[in-house]
Amino acid sequence: MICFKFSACLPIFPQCSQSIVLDSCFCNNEVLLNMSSLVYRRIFQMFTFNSLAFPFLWFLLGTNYGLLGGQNLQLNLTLWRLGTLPPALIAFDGNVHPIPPQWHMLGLGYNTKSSLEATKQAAVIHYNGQAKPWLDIAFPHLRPFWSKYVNYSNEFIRQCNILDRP
Amino acid sequence: MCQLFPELEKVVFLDDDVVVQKDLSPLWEMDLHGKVNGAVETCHGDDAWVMSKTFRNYFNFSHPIVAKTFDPDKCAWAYGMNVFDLRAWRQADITRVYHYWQKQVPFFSV
Repeated sequence: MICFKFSACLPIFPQCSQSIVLDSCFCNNEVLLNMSSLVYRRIFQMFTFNSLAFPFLWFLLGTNYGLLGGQNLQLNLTLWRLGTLPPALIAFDGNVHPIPPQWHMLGLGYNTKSSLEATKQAAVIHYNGQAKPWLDIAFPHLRPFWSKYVNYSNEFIRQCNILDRP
Repeated sequence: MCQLFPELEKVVFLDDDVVVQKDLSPLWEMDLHGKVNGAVETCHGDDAWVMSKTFRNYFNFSHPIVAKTFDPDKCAWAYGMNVFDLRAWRQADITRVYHYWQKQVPFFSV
């Protein structure tokens, strides 16, 4: 099972051509992203040929052992989703004080129906999501709240290839 | 963060994809009632899509440790604009709690 968990993170092994394993790869990547550098070093060690464990691992990785698990494959051992928020939700659990929502308006990077009135009123507007205002995929009507503060004549801003439009 | 800023008592944290439209200085005066993190909750609000996030949206509740420890209906909150009281942070030892959970992430386990 070690080998499955391990190989699932690297698309070079046959198990990973299966979509179900790819799902699992994704989950494992999530896990990996939250790992300490110690674990990354361990991965590196395991994939170098001077590791004593390498022949054993190579044997396991070459098998379809991971796929034979059937139902077990579906067992998702990930604790949380990708991102910095879930571990923070845990770490600050019981230590959060709610503040009025006008202080921080969310969703401008994924909700094209964000209320313009609320956006005008909020103290801080947050383009969380993919449609960042400096990208081509920005929502045009939400972009001016950001672009009006951009100094397009600035040398460094010009190097960023941000479209010069309001 | 309390180790990064040992001299500070309070920090206002902002993501890099925000625009500040108003004076934020009242945030320093805000009473956090002894809590560490002042944040906007994301489980209720006018926008039903953006504001409908509970722990269920972020955690794998089919995992026994998660199911045993957390409430799936608990309200989530947002990163991006937060007030952190670093004195309360040190007192509650948030850093230790964070590291504890980081170690719970399975790697070679089944």
